Amino acid sequence: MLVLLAACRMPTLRSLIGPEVLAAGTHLRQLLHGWRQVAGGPSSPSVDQSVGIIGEADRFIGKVYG
Amino acid sequence: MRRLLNRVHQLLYARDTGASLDNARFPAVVAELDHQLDEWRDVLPPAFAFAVGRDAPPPATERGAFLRQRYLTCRSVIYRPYLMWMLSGAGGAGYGDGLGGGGTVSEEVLANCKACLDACLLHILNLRGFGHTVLVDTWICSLS
Repeated sequence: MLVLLAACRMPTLRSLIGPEVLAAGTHLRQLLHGWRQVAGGPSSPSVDQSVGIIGEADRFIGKVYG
Repeated sequence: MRRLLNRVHQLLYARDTGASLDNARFPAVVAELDHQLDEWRDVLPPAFAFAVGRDAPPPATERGAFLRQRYLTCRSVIYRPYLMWMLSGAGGAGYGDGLGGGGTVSEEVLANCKACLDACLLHILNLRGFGHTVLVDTWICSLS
């Protein structure tokens, strides 16, 4: 996600990425959400951080594609 | 595949000797590693075979789907030096090195950046609940 986010911020590279990138964050969040439910509690700070990073990266990518 | 990934990390990203930050060296290394990756895929038996590309049909078996994820991971790492080179600003800065000299970015560099980006994106979008990979690959996709 961070590689894609970095590329999205450069117009030359953004043109190489298809609009499918807008689905990536949601897809990853769903997978991690499912895993967390299977694992049960307590929640893991590092997983929480990862989900947060995905969400932020996804939000910025969405803004770039506006 | 594990051996190839180790080779990729050794040749491109090893501390002090890795070629990934040396734009005079990494193109030849990337080309050779990509060749080895495709040779690996070409000899897979039918039960493990897979196609690559945005419109490629899904692999016939879960093993094929899992190996495709490994293939995409490896491909993204192999081509990443081109992306890092572009993101550093050097790619369009007129470096007279044959890669993109003269202030323009060559089609070859763009194609190789696209190879990296396509592999990253396909890896994420094809991620599924493969019994032996879902957690590991989710972390890879999240944090790189």
